[in-house]
Amino acid sequence: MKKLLWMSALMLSLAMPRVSAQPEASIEADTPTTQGPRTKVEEPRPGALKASPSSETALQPSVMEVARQIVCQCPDCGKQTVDQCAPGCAEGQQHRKTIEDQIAQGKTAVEIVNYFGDTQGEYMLATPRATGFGIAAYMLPALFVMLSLVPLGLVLRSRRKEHIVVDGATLCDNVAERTSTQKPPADDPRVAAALRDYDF
Amino acid sequence: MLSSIGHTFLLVAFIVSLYSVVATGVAYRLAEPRRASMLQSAHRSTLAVFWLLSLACLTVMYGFITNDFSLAYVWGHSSVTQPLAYKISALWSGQSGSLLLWAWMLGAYALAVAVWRGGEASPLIPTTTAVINVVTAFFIGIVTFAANPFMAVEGAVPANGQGLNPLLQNYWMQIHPPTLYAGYVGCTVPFAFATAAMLHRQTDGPWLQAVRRWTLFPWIVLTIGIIMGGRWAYETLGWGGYWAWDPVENASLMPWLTGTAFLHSIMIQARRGMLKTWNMTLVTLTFLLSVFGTFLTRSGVVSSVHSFAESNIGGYFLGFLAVALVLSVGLIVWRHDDLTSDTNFESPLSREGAFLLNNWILMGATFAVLWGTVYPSVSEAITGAQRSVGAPYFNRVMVPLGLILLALTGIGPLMAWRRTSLRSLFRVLRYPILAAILAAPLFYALSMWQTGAVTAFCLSVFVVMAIGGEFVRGARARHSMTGESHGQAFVNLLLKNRQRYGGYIVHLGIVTLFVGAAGNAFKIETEPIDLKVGETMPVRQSEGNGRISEYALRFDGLQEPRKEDLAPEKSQEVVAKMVVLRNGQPLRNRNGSEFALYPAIDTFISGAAADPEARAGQEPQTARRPAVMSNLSHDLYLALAGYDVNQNTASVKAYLNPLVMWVWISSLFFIGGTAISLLPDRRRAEAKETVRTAEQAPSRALDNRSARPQVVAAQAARGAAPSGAREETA
Repeated sequence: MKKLLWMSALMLSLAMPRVSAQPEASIEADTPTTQGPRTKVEEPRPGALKASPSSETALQPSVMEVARQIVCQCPDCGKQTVDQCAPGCAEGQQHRKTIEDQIAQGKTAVEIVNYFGDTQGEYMLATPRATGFGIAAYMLPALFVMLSLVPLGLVLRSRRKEHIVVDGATLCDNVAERTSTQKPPADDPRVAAALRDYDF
Repeated sequence: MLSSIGHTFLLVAFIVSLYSVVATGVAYRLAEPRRASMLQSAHRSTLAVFWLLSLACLTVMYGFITNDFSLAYVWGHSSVTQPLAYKISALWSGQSGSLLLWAWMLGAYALAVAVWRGGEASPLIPTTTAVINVVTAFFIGIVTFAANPFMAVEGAVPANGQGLNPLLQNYWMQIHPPTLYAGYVGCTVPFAFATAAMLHRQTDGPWLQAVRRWTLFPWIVLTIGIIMGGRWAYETLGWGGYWAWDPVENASLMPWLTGTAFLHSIMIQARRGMLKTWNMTLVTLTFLLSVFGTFLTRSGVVSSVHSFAESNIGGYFLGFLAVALVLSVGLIVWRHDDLTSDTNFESPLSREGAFLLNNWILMGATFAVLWGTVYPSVSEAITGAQRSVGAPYFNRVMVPLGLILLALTGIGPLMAWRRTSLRSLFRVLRYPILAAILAAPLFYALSMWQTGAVTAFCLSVFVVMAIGGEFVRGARARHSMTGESHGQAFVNLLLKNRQRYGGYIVHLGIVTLFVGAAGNAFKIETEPIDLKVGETMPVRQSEGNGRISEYALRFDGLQEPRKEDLAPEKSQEVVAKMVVLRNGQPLRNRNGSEFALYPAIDTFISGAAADPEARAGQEPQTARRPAVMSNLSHDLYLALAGYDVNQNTASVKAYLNPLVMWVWISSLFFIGGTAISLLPDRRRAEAKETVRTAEQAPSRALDNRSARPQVVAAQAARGAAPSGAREETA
């Protein structure tokens, strides 16, 4: 059980998102990278290429980086994030324009995402804020993982049924594991072993 | 006329399916020979249901092919100009048609189970068929009384239909939905076997042997269906990706996750007689989630790009789900005594331990997907506030879980049943671990550093080495035992223990899938760029860490086919010619011409376009047709965002998607590995026959000369398939 608890702790640390009062983008944006904090803001060139946020080299938020955090609410895009909505989607283009304007004003990804959440509603954010009922979005999966340890523990402590030991069981462990309710398929345990091995 | 005929087929099929269920139930209350007679009647009813549903499907198709717009469903999803292929696939393009297809597939599965001899599981077949028929009856009932594809249009019969949704006018439409449905629907069969096993109190041998194959088939079909859906999205939607954590995508993923867990945990029961209750729970959950997916798709409770399939029948599904859940849980509780484990769990450091961990993580992943999918609806219902859950949430939760699963695909096969010592495990894992560690700086040197992705790459190296080692060890053992050549020994190794090595190949498919998915972390995309003829847009600029501009795209103008050359369903097709340059030089075709990609926007004719009054005020329906240049390392993906025909300008968005090809390649591993696992095994049949003979004449078993070679061969095959870490003796 101790090992299981260890595993669960590891799982939780990996699966549990970093819960903060800000959405995901804010964490990334506020965290100083090895190349220094995000203080430098450049005017995005029209048509300039933008690296994905995962490149971890960008010093300022790109439009796409922020667009990944904003949900397009138009009926055609099916509530996909703005980076994924159709290239010709008018609403998505409007959001991208807003993001560009915000970047031009020197705002960080956090501030831009918050801007959308504050001015247009929390439903614009691709990750719920970890406040109020938003906490449940993160806590419930973690709780589930923890609570599922209970049945897992029961399995580990499962009661062993009485079983019959067939002569020659050393040839195959599985033969010995057959229950009294289940007749061995053959008197020859080696034949039974062969069958069991072929089955799975 | 067609409406009445089709409706009659459905009504009769509904009654017959119910009769089949009742007849099976009654049969088990009768004594022989009346029982056999009644079961035979139920069997024939199952066949009749399938044929009646087939006739119903053919009737709808006939309506589509003959443009019979007296059927509202045909009117709503077809038009005179619609190509024949789309007229046929229009059957599953809408609500009632796809539910009819679903019912037909259930009928087909019931038929397959009914005519299957069943081997040792044959006593379970009538009840299994009856359970499938219960589900079939529900779907037929929905199609007959709530979402009838044979509803007639009101008033005069229109001259033309409304046409198929442009997004569905794609060749994937013809194979993706039926494949996905076949996977979903197939989840009913193992559930039905499990229910039958519990009802007959035969929860050990027979159903185990039957259920693995009946689970593997829908599992692989669902897998392929999911990957096909990704490919369709990639080719059609124009956002440069294939998986968006859309609720309907999630709905297909959930039964896949639980089905995968079940395929692993069933092995524990087969080997060690453990986890019986858990297996029953898992198989039930897989079935319920497959129906839940339909509920999500149909009810409209969540917003999705698949919203064309929404309607108001969600309530029926919710009711059905509730009843199925209560009955299934009740049955498991009722038969709890039959589901007690035969053996103890001996050590977490064992194959069972790895499978348990696998199950735990898969269940955690299932719950995370489920919760993320329904959270917006739950939040709105409880707090009144609208919230969204998008891809960033799922990526954050699922990536760590996925990485652990990836590691387990390499570790699990190397662990022995019952127990493994750390020492022996390390002995077989040391080289894979070393390779994975050495790979990390290599990826860094290649300027590919992104923590999650590089972890996935390193784990992939680990798994390939671990599983590859199993193949090598097995082939070597066979070579030394039998004297076969190395190649022959490898082939025979695969053929002699198909389930094991088929499974390993599927694990390699998982690795391939992860490699492809991890490439997404290095995705590069441009903003839509307005281009005049002759202008060039770069793709992949320098980003300060060694990456340099690699591709450039030169816009060579818009192209429009002549009206007479257009496909009948289209009113306009605008194509941007983008010549691909690499390091400043255009790529060349084999004939020396410049290589170009042609992203396009198609405008479709609505069927109502034939009627100017109906057309007035309607926006033309358009669909993007991205252009993709693929190779093993990356895809250059172009989407036409907009255009001006008069100015001959285009707005183009470009993506450089690393490793996407590997996602599609993974399907080959899945298919290949599963096919090997599913292939009938002559030697196994012979071994069974040997056992049967031995059972019939126990006293002769040990002296049976014909049996001996089989036993020896079986042991030789077992010996030639070594598991890296041998079982430790206590």
